Amino acid sequence: MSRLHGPGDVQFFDRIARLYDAAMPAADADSLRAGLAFARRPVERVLDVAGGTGRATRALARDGPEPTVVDFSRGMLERARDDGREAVHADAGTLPMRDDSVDAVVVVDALHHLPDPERAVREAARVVVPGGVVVIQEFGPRTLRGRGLVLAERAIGFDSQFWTPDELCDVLERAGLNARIVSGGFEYVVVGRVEDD
Amino acid sequence: MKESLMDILCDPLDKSDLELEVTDRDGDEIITGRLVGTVTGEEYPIEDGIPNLLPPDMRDDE
Repeated sequence: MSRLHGPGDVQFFDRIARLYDAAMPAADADSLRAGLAFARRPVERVLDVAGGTGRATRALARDGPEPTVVDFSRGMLERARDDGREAVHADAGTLPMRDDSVDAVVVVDALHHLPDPERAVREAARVVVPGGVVVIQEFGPRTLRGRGLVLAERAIGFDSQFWTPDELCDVLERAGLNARIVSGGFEYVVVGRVEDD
Repeated sequence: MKESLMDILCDPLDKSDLELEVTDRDGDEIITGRLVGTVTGEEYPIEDGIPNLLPPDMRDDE
């Protein structure tokens, strides 16, 4: 397996943190909101896991609860902190959060960078309270733009795995979540709800 | 980090409680300090407002 940029591509993101916000488009906040609306409870505490600079959830923070940014890259987190966000340096597969402690976890354009995505989804499901949701935005590998992205990420040495929306729903179901597709296309959103036992 | 974050934080190793020790604060913002695992005894630093709660074997000890 290629590990050119280190575990979870962290060394790469430490290096590019200053350039990242300028280069990346704003995430689709409406689809994220639609995912959060699948929750059966008020969404107050939110974690932005592998959230980097907090870019993806900045739009959510403007009109709702301010997600706490969790990331493996200290460089990215310093940008989030400078932006006034709560930032926690942590591993998505070993979250330092209590069981049932948050209403939602969002993972935006980041799950495919994690060294063990299935484990990260299980951790997300653990920390979300029953009735809460795990919302994941990812890139569809079988769309035209998605095929280009897969090639581009491989070319720069990322060891990325991509899923179709249905495949990602299966990942959520394996973590015990009630999953569904919120929106399709190149940047799709799936959501999994934690149901009562 | 704000002290209210303690509501959700736990020791990454065994998910047990953490004890907060503050060295420097600015209003309700904790700038420097540490979090100590009440069961594991592991120490997690808070530097420049960011708690480092990586498992010890994943820390980049530079």
